[in-house]
Amino acid sequence: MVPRIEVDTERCVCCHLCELVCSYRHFHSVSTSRSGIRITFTIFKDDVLVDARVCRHCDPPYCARACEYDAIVVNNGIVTILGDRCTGCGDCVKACPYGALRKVPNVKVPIKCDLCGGDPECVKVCPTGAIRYVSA
Amino acid sequence: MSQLDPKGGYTGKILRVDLSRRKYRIEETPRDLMIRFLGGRGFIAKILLDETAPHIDPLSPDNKVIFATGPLTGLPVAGSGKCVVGCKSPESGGYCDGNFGGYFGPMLKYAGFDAIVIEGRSERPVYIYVEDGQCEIVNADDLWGSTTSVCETTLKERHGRECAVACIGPAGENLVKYANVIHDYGRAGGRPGVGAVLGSKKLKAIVVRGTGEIPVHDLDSLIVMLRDVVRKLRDSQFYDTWTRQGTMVTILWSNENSCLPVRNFREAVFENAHKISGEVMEKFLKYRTRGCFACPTPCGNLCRFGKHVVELDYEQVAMLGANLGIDDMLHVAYMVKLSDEYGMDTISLGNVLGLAMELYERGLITSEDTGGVELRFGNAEAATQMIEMIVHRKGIGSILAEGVAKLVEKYPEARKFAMQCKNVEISAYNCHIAPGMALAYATSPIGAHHKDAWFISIELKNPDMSIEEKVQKLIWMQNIRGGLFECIGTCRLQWVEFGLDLDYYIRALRAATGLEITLSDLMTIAERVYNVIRCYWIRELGHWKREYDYPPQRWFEEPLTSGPRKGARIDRETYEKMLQLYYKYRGWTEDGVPRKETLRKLGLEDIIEALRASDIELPD
Repeated sequence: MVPRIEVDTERCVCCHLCELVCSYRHFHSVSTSRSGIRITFTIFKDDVLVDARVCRHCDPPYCARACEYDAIVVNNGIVTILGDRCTGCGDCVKACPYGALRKVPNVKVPIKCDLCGGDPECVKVCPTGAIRYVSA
Repeated sequence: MSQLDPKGGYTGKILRVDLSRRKYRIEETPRDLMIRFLGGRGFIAKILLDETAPHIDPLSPDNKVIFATGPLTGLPVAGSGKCVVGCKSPESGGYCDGNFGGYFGPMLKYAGFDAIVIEGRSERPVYIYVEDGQCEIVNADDLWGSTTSVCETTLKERHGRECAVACIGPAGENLVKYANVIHDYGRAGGRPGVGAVLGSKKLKAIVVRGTGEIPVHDLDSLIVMLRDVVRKLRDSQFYDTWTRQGTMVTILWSNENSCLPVRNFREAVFENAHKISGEVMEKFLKYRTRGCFACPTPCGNLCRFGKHVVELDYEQVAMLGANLGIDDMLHVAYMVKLSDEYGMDTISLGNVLGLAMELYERGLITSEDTGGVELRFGNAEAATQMIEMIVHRKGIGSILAEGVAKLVEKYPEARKFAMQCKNVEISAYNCHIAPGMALAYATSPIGAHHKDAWFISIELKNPDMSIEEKVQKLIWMQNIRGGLFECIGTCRLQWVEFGLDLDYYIRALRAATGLEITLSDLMTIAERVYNVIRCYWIRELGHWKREYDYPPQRWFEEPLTSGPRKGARIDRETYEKMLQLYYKYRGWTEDGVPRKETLRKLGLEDIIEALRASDIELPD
């Protein structure tokens, strides 16, 4: 089992607090788009659709395979983008089947979850306990 | 407050969209606006007074609709999801605004704007698309006529699910006077007709997508405070009950305390309140909880019944349930669903239907008038049919769509039991037993609404309060809720329901803006906002009368005939005394007009001049 963040979308209330603390931790910024976790709420044909996008640290990772510059590596089960090798081409963003990476204007390296070194901020701030950290 | 520039909290830009010319312009947010009026309601009141000509027709291109955020909106601060929307009201002819949660306000700031000012009128239906400092006016022929959830989902499919959409429904398009703005499938704002004004401008929706950053002076402190607050609120004893039922806990509380509106506010205890209570909702309808942006204490009750999804809260269920004598929760939920989809205010709708039912039962409206609909209390079918008639302005629905005031005009006898202040319908607290709350309604700057002062709980908890203390407390509360919270851009419920210290918001404001703000600065800003809004009303009406600050006659003249508080009514003399004190403490004349001296003390010399330009000389 690889370490990763799991979101119980039934319990998620879509408050976006996870995104706020993620952008603080990784960019020292107030910007929900600079976040490795992304929550959206839609009602489609009378059905509520809460969508949580966060890296699953899959093995082997689709994003790494798509990267021509070998900028994506797996360290102790954690999929990591090496900033100095990344050119910001965005191929990995397109390759991820879970939509867990994203490109944001003015930020070269695509943004994704790095598990905060094993103590994820989003898990700690979630008011309903919907976000769980599953360690290896 | 110090005279320095804010170092964060604001994006520093205002988007101005002229629908007549299909052009937009980006302006700097004036420093004066930030320092003297803070944000939200403060921005709206000042901009309306400064920029719109006196006596304009609210539904003409001259009216402006302003969406304004506050300095804390979108920041890592508890409940920072609020956006305020306001304009000149087509229902009251005066100032109106409303705030809504969700994440529209935060998105707007991430897109780089503190506020959007919408001017003019489009020939064809359009929507506005805003993305990271850019704006586009897009044809909306295909969306015109759609219900709010269909409109929102369509736009999200087109522009991405992360976008925030605020739109109007058919009620706004058909200029129903209490049509509002709906965001995020059920976050509603702008009761006294903001939706109708947008409808008159042929503006169906605003879509915002923002990927930018909001500058902040001291982010580390904000995050430390946020973590602390989230932990405290989550560990609070009330957390569990609150997140399960939200404001729906109030149904039984109001019933026990004889302040539930029952059958057009005639009585205050509903025999079947237990059938529409928070528990019933939780047990039979609730399906999940939903929160607004950055909310640690989510209270949105997402309910599912049949194939419908709807969010329920106290005001809606009290007004469309108890106030209409309807005790079938499913039917109430269905009516709420209809009003959200059509984009009209559930409070005013419940109030208007209540009055119509009373008129019907008294024989003033006949079944001939209603097109055969048996508009009696408790008849949920009839109420539902009437909602359709109102939205599509069919038959008598066309009169009901104009609000309670129009009904009074048409049926003069209805004056005695029309539940409104300043032509805006009373929301869901019955005040036979609560003169202080009645004063709160009557002096609310947008017409009868509880958002400025939910005074009833303090009043009932302290029955021995002297009237002096009562009025002082009421003004204090208006300044906090209607001043501070309406301007800073956060929800007030963490403070109201969980006792979160006001100091938190002040520290957050300091960290965000870098300004040495104190509570007394904020109180001054609140006073300023109240005075500007009162001056706006006076300019629009050309005069002011004491009776404009009176609550409905029913609370004075018809004592409760049932329940533990049988016989209760408001004593007119007591009310007059309270109103007198209210004016005195606000620095207004015996007729409720702000004195020049009061305005000067608040640094509002420009307002004195502005009124003089409209031939109104304020008293010394």
